[in-house]
Order: sequence, then structure tokens, then C-alpha cells
Amino acid sequence: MKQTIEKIAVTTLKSSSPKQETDESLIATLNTGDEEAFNQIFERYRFWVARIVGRFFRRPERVEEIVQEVFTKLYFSSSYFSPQPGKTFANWLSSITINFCYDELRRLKRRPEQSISELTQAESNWLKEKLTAPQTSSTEQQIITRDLATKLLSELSAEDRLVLTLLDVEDLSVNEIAKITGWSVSKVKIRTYRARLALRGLLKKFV
Amino acid sequence: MFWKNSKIENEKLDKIGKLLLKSAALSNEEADQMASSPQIYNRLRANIIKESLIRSEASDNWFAIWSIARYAVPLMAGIAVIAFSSFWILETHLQQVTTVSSSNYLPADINILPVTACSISSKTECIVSSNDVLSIVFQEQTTEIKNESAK
Repeated sequence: MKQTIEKIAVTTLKSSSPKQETDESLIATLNTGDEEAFNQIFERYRFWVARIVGRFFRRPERVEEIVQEVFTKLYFSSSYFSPQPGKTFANWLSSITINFCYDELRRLKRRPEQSISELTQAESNWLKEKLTAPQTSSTEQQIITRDLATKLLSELSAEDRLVLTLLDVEDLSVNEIAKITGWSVSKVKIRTYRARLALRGLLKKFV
Repeated sequence: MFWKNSKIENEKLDKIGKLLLKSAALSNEEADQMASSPQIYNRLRANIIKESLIRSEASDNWFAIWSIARYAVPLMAGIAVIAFSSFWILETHLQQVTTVSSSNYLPADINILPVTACSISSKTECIVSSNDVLSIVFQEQTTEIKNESAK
């Protein structure tokens, strides 16, 4: 699944509405107080933002809440966006979205909802099974995998979770992650190495 | 051999980790379904109105502080300037008064010197030194003591 944020944007935009006005001109109109411009931006990008948020969270209410927060932030901070070569509106919006997701991950880390000690027998078996024979994909197995994933990944720090999701799920490069998060390239590399070690350590506990 | 095994194990663990990360994410279809909910736009508008109210309240507070500070700060600065200038004027005026009063009552050729034997004896130059005065005083005292003892 080689699908970068830009690719998601392209597919989403194609499926949603034909581009009549550019994002930049819509933002300029929004800055004059035109509510219709905001509605157009929302219609154009809501699926895209939801897909990015969906990479980090599964609960519908949480996804919806973050989508709302992202667009509220966009509504009040649109004047801060200045189009530059190599920095499109989509990039800017993805940075806002990922920062919101990162904040939410940190908040959840402070108040964990599930504990790894609550791992069921089925989940433990799944992990062991995956190490010996990694090809099983029944619906029941998928549900077990999802629950296990939620529990295990909640044990990772927000930074680890963010960097691994962007690398392994979004298939972004180190440079792209650095650009989106505002971290340095070396920080992303170090964080990736540590995140991998942390995830291996977590998995080893239960295998 | 150990390194090779460890590498294979790490690769396996990374694969499982990747699988878990993907499982924890929503599929595009699921995410689109959530985003297409008609309620999401209504809630967003409500959220924006709520945020606008919070921001306007905050800006009202700032405006109230600003409207007070706008008058209070120059007023305080004015008071400070007046107080400082009045002290300064008063001080310079007092200096002038003392110099004027001393020049009124004393002749211009008099030099005010500290009260010493020299200043008592002469206006311009010192004829008798302090040692002379002390020796005269001691002489007088010794003659008085001698006289008393003779009596």
C-alpha cells in the first residue's frame, strides 16, 4: 500500500468534487469572511482529513472530533497560511491534522484507556501464531488483530506511534515526515530506530 | 549464527508490528463513511460558533483591560513626571534662596572659614597657630595652679 498523503489527497479530490477554484484562492476568499469558501474547502478536504486521522484512531467519535477540531483551527487560522513553492495548502492542512493527532496520542498516553495486561488468550495465541505462520485472515482473526493492535500500540509513546504510523502505514519517507512534523531529519531517524526497538520489545514480551 | 537468528527474529517482529499498525488504522472506506456523516458539518458549525464566542469573550476582556490601561498608563506617567519636576524645581529654588540670603546679610569680602584659632584671630591670614594657642592655655593653667598652691 504505497499511498502517501499527497496520493490520498489526489484520490480523494478526484472522488469528491471537480476543482473549480484553487485552494489558495479559496483561502484568500475565506480570509475576506466568505463562509461559502470555507464550505467548499470543507467539502473538498473532509474525506482526506478523516483518512489521515483514521490512520491513528479507530473510534468514530474520536475521528469525528479531531476532524472538527482541524477544520475549526483552519477556520480561525486561515490567515496564517501563505502559499510558498513546495508548501501547498494540502501540506499545511496535513501538518495541522497530524499535529492534532499527535496531541491526542499524547493525551491518551497520559490517560490510557486499555492496559496491556488485559491481553486475552486469543490475542496471545494470535501473536505466537503470527511468528510461526503469518498467513491467516478470517474475520474473527481480523477483529482479534484490531483489538490487539489497539492495546499494544497504546503502550508506545506518542512520538513512537506517530513516526511508525507515518512510516509503515502512510509509507512516507523520512524527509516527508520531517517536513510534516517539523522535526529534523536526524530526529526522525533516531525516533524511528527507538520506536522499532520499543515495538519489538513489546511484542517479545508476549511471544 | 546468533546474529543471523536475531536478525530474522527482528524482521519477523517488524512485520508483525507493521501488520498491527495497519490493523489499528481505519480503511479508506471506513474513514470516508465517517466523514460523509451529515451531522459532522452541523457539529463543526456549532463548534465554530462556540469557539467564536470564547474568542470574542477573551477579546472583550482584553478590550476592557486596554480601555482602562489606555487612560491609566498616561495618567500615571503624567503624575510621575509632575512629581519629579516639582521636586527638581523645589530643590533648585531652595539652593537659590540660601545663596541669595547669605549674600544679602554678609559683606562680599568676608570669607567664611571654619571656626579655628586662626579664623578667630584673623580674617585673611593665620598669625597664631593652634599650637601657640594651646601652649598659652597650658601656661595660664599652670600659673593658676601655682598661684593656688602658693595660697
